Amino acid sequence: MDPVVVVHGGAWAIPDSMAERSVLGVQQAASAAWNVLEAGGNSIDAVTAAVTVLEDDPVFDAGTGAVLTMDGTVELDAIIMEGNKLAAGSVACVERIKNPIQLARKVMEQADHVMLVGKGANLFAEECGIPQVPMEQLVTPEAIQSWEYFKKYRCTIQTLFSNRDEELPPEITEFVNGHETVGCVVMDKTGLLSAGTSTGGITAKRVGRVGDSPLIGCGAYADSEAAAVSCTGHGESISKVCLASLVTEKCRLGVHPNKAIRDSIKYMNKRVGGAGGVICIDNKGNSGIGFNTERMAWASKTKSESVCGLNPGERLVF
Amino acid sequence: MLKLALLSFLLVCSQHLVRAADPILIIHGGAGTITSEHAAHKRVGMVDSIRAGFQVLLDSDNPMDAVEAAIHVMENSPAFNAGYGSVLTENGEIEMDAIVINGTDLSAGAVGAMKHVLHPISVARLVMNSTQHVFLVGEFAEKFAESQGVPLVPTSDLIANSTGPGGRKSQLVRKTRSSYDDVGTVGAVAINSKGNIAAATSTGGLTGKMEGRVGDAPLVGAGTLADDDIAGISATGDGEAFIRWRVASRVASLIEQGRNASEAILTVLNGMTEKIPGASGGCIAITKDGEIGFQWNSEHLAWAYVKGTERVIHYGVERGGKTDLCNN
Repeated sequence: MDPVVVVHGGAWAIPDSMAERSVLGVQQAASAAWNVLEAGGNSIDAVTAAVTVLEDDPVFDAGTGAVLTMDGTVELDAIIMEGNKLAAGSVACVERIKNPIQLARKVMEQADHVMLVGKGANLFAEECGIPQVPMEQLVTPEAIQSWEYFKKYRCTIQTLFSNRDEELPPEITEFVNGHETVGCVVMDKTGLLSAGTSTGGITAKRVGRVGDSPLIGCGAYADSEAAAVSCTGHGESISKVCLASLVTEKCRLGVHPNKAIRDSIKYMNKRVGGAGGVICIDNKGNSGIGFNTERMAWASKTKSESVCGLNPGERLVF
Repeated sequence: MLKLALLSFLLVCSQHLVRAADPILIIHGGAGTITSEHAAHKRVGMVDSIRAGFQVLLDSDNPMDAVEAAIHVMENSPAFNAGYGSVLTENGEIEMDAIVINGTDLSAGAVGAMKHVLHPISVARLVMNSTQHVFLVGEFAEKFAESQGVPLVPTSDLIANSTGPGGRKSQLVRKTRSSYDDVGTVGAVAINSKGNIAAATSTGGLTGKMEGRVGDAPLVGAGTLADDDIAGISATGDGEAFIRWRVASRVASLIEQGRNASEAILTVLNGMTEKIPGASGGCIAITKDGEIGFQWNSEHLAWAYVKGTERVIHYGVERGGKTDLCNN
C-alpha cells in the first residue's frame, strides 16, 4: 500500500490572527508523521509523532496551549487506536502531562484497560515513567485571556461551534483562543490504519468533564478493514451520535471517505445540532476531509502530493 | 384550509397508530459464569427490579423514570455489581460507572470512576439534565453530585456484608481478571406507549481494576445506546473488548438493517469473540417496533422482561427461564 497521512488542527471559527500559524502547524505535523514512515516506523508511530508535534505547538488546544477549565486548571484528553487488533488506549482529565498522546499509547500497550481517567491516569503515568510538568508550563497567555472572557460556558459553545451559516459578531471570533483539538490518521505501507486525537477541551468547561476526544468511536476510531477516523468540534454532540463510528461504518460499506464524512456530519447536525470536522482514511487509502464549522486546519501527505487547507473547499500545495 | 386541517388530522392519527405500542421493560443483571447460589439471588433481585420499574412505566409512561427505578433496585441489592455491592479496585476502593440515554433526542448523561454514591445512575441523570456536558468523571463527578444535593456515603457503606457476588468475601482485592465476582453489571431498557425509548447501565466494573479505569458501560455506543428511530440497548461483559468492538453501535446498526434483535446481538458478540479471543458477554435490546432481544455468548446472562399486554415477568440466567406474575 502507498502510505497516507492526514492531520487536523481543530474545526471551529479560527480567527485570521491564528490562521497562518494553524496551517503551518498542521503542515509540520504531517511532515513529522511522514518522516517516521520513511524511517521505517508504522502508522502508530507516525500518529504519535504528528500528535506530539501538535501538542507541543502552543497554537493548538492540546498539550501546551490547552484551554483552561472553569477553575483555571488544565485537563487533557487523548486517544490512540490501531486498526489491526483494534487495540486502543485513552486518557481523560489528566493534569500536568506534556504529551497526553504518549500516555494514551502507554495505556494501549501496557495497561489491562482501555481508558483511564483523572488521578488514576496520572498515577499510571508515574508508573510508566512519564514525567509530570508544572501546570504553568502548559498554560499560554492566550489561554488565560480566553478563559477570562469565556468563563460563561454557554457563550463558548454557541460562539465557537456554530454552523458556518450562522452570523457571528466579528469581535468574538477574533478574540478567542479556543478549540483546536488535534488529530491524525495514518495508513502505513502494510495497510495498518491508526488514529489519534488529543485536546484540552472547551474553555471554561466543568472540571472533570470528558468530551468526545478520548471516547473510542466518538473522537477517534481505527479498523484496518474499514477506516481510521479522527473528529473535532462540539464534543457533546459528537459523543451522542458516535461520529467516528458513523464514518467508519459508512466506509466499511464502501462509501468514499469524503461522502461518509459529509453525510455523518449532516446527520449529527440534524439529530442533535452542533458542528465539527472529521478526517479519515479508508482501507483502500482514500482520504477524506470535511467540516461544517467556519474553518478547519488540515494537511495531508502522500508519495505524490502535500496539500493543506483552512477554508471550505480550499486545497493548497505545500 | 379545511383540506389542511383534515390532512393534519389524518397525519396525527397515522402517527398515533404507528406509535401506539405496549410499554415494555427489559433488564439484565450481568453476563458470565453465574453459580446457582448467585443465580437465586439475582432472580429475586431482577423480579423486584422489573416490578418497581414497570409500575413506574405504567404510572408515568416515562421510560427514563422506569429504567432509573429498575436500576435503583439492583443498585440497592448486593446480588449485583452496581451501587451497593460493587466490586473493589486494586486499592480497595469502589469506583462506579453509569449512563442514561434518552432515545428521543439522544441526550445522555454519564459518570465514570465515581466513588461515594449509592445510585450512580441518578447522578448520570443529573449530568444529563443539569449540565452542558455528557460525561463527568472521578472526584469531580462526586463534587457535582454533592452540589446537586446527592448524599455522599463512605465506601464502607457500599461494601456488602453478605457472601453474594458483591459480598465482602468476594470483594477481597485480587489482581486476577474475569472472575465470576465481576458478573453483575446492571442495565435496563424501556419503551413507552408512544415509542419513546430510554436505556441505562450501571456497574462497579472489574475486581482489582486500576484506579481511574472506565469500562464500556458509560460510553455511548459501547455498552449502551438509545435511539427512538432504531432501538434501546444495554450490554455487559468484558468491558475493554466491548469498547473496542463498539458492541451497542454494531447491534444498533444490524437492527437498523432489519435484522431480528436477538440475532443481531449474537452476530455482534460472536464477531467480537472471533476478533478479540476470550472476550464474551451479553446484551439486551428493545427495537423501535417493540421487539425484544436478549442474547449472550458467555455461559450465562441474567435477564428479565415484562410486556404491557402480558403482565407476566419472564426471567432467568439461562435460555428459556421462568415466568412470574407481575402484580402490577
